[in-house]
Amino acid sequence: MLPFDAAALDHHRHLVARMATGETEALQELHSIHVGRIHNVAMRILANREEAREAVQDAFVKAWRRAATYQAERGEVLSWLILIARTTAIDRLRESRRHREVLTLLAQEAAAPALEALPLPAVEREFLDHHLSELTPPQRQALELAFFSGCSQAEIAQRMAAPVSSVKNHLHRGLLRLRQLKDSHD
Amino acid sequence: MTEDFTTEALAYLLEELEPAARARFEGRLAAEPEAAAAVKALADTLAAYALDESPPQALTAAEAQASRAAALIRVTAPAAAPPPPALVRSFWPMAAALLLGLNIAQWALRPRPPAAPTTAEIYAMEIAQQKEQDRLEAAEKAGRDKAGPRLLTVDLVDNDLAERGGRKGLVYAEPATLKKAGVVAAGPGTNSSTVIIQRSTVTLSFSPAPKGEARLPSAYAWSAFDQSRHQGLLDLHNLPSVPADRFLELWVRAAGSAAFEKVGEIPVQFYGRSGSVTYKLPSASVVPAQIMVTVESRSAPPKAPTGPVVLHGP
Repeated sequence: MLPFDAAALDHHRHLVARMATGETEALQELHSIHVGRIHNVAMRILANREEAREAVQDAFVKAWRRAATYQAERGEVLSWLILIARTTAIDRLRESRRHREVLTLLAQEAAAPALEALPLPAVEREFLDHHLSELTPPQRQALELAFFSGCSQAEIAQRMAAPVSSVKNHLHRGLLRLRQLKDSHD
Repeated sequence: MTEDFTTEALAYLLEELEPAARARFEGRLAAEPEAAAAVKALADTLAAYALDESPPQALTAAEAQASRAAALIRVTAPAAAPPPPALVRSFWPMAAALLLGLNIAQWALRPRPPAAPTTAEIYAMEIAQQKEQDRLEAAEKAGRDKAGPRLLTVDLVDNDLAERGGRKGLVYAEPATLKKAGVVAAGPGTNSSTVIIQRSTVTLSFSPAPKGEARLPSAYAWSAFDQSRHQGLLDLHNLPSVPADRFLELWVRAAGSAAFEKVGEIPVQFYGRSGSVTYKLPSASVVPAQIMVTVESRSAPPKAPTGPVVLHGP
């Protein structure tokens, strides 16, 4: 469930439309509204404040440049921003040492349960456990690796010691379940 | 929504499709409203998932502001200058006129940055200082550099907006230069500043002119306090002229104290112009919380500020 009512979501769309016409004030307002959430996601991916901060900056610059191509029928503004930020952060992650460490981990522990092996702090682990409890462990693992670690399906398959077809199935069913949960909350 | 569709839609949303595949998928979305609706649902689901699974991280106001500043710098960066007119030596006059016309048209149609370009340099300073602050915090956390200076972030705020309670719409300053820790170069045109001292904020802004009086020329100042040296720096610009029987006094209220203390007289040679002063507080254990510059009488120098306020902050 996105943390905004219909009027707020409509206002966000209006801000993006203004950004598309070159209004920097709209960017500032959109930034003020969403920077905390975008920062959370970037931190979740990068686990480094400096990297996350730069990723957030990059994300808003990309949003500015892409404002004219934003289509509300493809997702709410916050969703659009989060996906931009996610891609930006993943790009950074792939270039970072942390990603190399993750890849090393993937290679060394291919047969182990993936989620427990990820170097996440205890507080994140607890948070994750609470909100992903509705999914099966493979679904959780596949989604986690795809979204937050930027792993390809082949990498996920290697990590889970499962065929790619299974990974696709886990992602599909996991996302369907999340959508059901989201719809029930909405 | 089939498994194949989910796979492709997920790759599309995560920007992992090759350009050709992406174009094909977008064509499908344009032609199939149901597919587009499914992608929207998936995008919003992923966003909700990301929000739910991303633990809240402390983001200070200064960090958020620096982030916004950085983004604005980049989106308001001036476009590349148009190429100079082609060198024409032996063209017919008509051809030369045509080229000139083309260059004029090119100039007129050149890409222009969005409004408010004057904010960029201010933001650059914020970012540079934020980075330095982060560096110092990291060094402190690591137990190193304890004797090093503590840099204080300077955040410049447009005076007119500050009077209306606004905190954006910053004014022009030269690109920030972090000459050394604790000292930040600010260029002309700045109206006021905010100084973050040990994560608390001190705003130094130009006092509004009383009604009916002409606004004083664009005086402004910014300040930083180097805790390791226990020394404050006040950079004053465009100070007003002061009659010979009066002088400008600098007052500082220390954190935890209710009273302003006299810390020094602004040198006469700075009246009507600009200059920098340093000051020290009476006690080495305190940091400034408020700064004020007032016009006082030489015949009866006060122990507390009494005269018209020239600068104050916050």
